[in-house]
Amino acid sequence: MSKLPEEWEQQLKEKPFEGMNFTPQMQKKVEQRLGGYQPKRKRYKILAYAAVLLPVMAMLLWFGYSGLEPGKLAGRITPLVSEAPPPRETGAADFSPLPPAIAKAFQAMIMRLASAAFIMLKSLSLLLKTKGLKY
Amino acid sequence: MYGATKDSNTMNAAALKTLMEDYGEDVWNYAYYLARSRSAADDISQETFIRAYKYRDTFRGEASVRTWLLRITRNRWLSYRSSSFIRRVTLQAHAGRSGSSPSAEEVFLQQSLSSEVWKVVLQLPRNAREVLMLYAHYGLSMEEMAGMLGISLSAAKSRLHRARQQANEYWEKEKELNRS
Repeated sequence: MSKLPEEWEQQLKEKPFEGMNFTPQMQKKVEQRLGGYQPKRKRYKILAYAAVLLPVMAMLLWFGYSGLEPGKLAGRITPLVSEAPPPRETGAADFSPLPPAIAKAFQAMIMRLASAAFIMLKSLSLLLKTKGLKY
Repeated sequence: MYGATKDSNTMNAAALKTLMEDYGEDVWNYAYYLARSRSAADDISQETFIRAYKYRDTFRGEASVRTWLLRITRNRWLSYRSSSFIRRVTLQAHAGRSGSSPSAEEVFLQQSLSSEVWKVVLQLPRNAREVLMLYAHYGLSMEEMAGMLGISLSAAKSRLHRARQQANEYWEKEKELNRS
């Protein structure tokens, strides 16, 4: 028992136990528990969904918005409020900064930009979500 | 062994079997020296290989396969220890230890320990026996050890220094006991 510290440290290189403790039965148990295991591929699944759903969503939004014609819907329903007379008739000043055609085009552009931004944000959030996933 | 399977990013049943045959004892011994219980070591070592198989893609080859497995073992032990069920059972087990007859664990140690020095290491506090085992038995470098324990390099060095001192003290005590 009179061993120097260096010697006892050398002894630590040897196995602590005689015989086998991680038995073949345990190995079998591990194999059995992993028998029906299939690695989850959540990340790829979500990316596949995103790849299909996002263009579809974008197309739906685009066509949906293109199908809307200003005034078309309003023509079917009797308006509760009649259109205001032009400012020239009433004598009031016209503060509209843009002509109606340009204003409509501008509004349409804003709507398209907004829908595009929405789609981009949605896809970005999906991608960020998938980046954070662990499997 | 695992290197070949790592290249193809797959680990089939045969590779898992080889992994268990090659590193099963290392994992079990480390788990035992952390938990100081055979049943816990059995559970932790099995869980380790299940984890290793499930998360085999996380092995980046930065460290050796053994170091990677030891790291998983340590994490499995931490989660094992933190589970309330285990805590409750351990408390009951400690409370029940009133008799003078040796426990099954003590009998196992008397019969199976290969040398006195391992008995001494087993008596050390957990931090000390862990660093001694990782450094002296598994031959981990200071950097690897610090990374595994989640501490700085200097902290790992001082922990090892303290562990050696403690082991020396315990070793001297053991010698005294044997003489008397």
